[in-house]
Amino acid sequence: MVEIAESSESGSGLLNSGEVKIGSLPEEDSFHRQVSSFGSSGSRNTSPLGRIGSRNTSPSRQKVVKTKPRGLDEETVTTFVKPVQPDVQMEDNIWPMLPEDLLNEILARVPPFMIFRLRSVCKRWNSILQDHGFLKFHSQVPSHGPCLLTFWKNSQTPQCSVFSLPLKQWFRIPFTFLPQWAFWLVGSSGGLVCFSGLDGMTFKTLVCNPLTQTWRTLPSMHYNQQRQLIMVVDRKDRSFKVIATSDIYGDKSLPTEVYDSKIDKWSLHQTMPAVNLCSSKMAFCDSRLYLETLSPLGLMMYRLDTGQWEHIPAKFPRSLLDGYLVAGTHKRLFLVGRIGLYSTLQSMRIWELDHTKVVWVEISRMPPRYFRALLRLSAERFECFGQDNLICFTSWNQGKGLLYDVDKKLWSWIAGCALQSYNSQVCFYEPRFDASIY
Amino acid sequence: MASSSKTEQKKMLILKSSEEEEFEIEESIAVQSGTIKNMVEDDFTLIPLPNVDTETLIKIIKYMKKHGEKTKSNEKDIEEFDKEFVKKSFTELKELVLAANYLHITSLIDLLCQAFADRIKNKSVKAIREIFGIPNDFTPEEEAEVYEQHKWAHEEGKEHIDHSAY
Repeated sequence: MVEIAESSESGSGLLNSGEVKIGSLPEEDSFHRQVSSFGSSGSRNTSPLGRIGSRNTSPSRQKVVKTKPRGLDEETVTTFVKPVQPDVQMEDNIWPMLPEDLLNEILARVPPFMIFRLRSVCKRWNSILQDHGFLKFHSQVPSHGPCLLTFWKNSQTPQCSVFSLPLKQWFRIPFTFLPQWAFWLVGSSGGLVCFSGLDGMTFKTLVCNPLTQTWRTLPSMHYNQQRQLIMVVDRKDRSFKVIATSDIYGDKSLPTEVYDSKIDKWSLHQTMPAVNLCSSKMAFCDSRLYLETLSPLGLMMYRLDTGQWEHIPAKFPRSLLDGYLVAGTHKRLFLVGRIGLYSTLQSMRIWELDHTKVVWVEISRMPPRYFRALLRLSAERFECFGQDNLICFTSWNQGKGLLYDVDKKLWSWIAGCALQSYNSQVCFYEPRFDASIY
Repeated sequence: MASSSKTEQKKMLILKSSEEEEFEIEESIAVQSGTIKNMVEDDFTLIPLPNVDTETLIKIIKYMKKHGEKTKSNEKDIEEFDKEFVKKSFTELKELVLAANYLHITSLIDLLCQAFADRIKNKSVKAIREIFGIPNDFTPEEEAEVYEQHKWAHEEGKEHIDHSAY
């Protein structure tokens, strides 16, 4: 049963691999803002009262009318700047002189999915927008907003769509690179997306960056079983880990396995106690993995640094249904679920774990009108997941998405988001060019 | 015209545009510009700005004055001001961003670059070329190839594409 295989498949969907430097721009230095070097502020004047009496001769400030480019006629007007009336200053010719650093600042603020289209503008833009240094700079711009990634397989073809919350737009991403066996969306973290599936008899995992269309299969685990998985990216460390806890049927006692991208290997750790009580509810925060156990509801915690499991004796709310675990920012951990057995008396509540007192503290309740709209019947299936203090509720049959912002204490429907297909899987996703699969 | 008035509490500077028009401004506000700050440290009180025309300088002074009075209570007010401030033609925005870059006013550069990005993100390729005055230097074959590489990005959100160059 023990299988240790080497990482075999990887690939890139791009014709121009992201690793090849096409632009001539140096790595990071050119992207620090520089004071524009064209046109110095006249001669250095030692006398504070001195006037710069001489006429301004800076080349970029000429007020004369520029002559039109030679040969400009009606046929070429669409590819060149529109000709203007002679009495209007024709300063359009200054445009190509827009300093590199300013152009980069502008392009870096364009949302990730819109960048691709801009490559068609001209050769210079095409080169800049593929430059490794620029893409890294782009990824450092404060988040272009959270996105939702949905994945489903239409018989054999994988379909993947990303919904950008700030842009309120769907983008369908080609996932043709995904091997046939990739079936389950494990999750997304730091711009990477993880899938798992069965390739024949072998349980495999894969990571990819949908934006750069790069992907690779991870080496096989020590124990070939379908496992509960979670992936976490450490951006500071430029690495990621995949943690495999129990097998999905909960009947095999297997050591916890952790994949570390820095060594490209799986390592074995303590078996989770009470493996038969595992639920599928997991959340990772502050380098700890929290896992919910059933009958009775309990909380187990796995520490990455020690490789050990620990029971957290936080008492769960009585008569809790669902019980989703959601990780927030820093060390925040949330519990989401319904209380009340009868549909008319049910309410959806959110608790936060108080780590010091080891108790669940109720922090919010879903307003009844949202609850009713989301779940027409209490038996209606819904999914709940979250990231960065945003908790998302989706009800597939109704194609609706509801968002709760923990910090702002705001409930809102996700506008323009018609979620299709009852059998699709969904998670939060941050599109980042610089998320590396290695 | 005399420069700084030594009897006043607040030190004043004079900014001179490329068209030689002069504007008086409090030093404490003007030093939001890194360039001006450096010159002040070198004892300048008359600051010649041959790269900034009068119209643009007036707008920049307006920006600096508004941001110079930033307190905890008027954040929303300043946000509104910023929103209105960037509602300008591309030509004006271009002048402003070049001036802001030259004057090294970080917050204004950020604001203007973000405004540009927001305005062009939905624009068609043709419209962007027009706005930036960029000729298409691709051959039809090259252009088709670049298009093919990311066809999905062009196809997606087609209905959102804006073809105007304004």
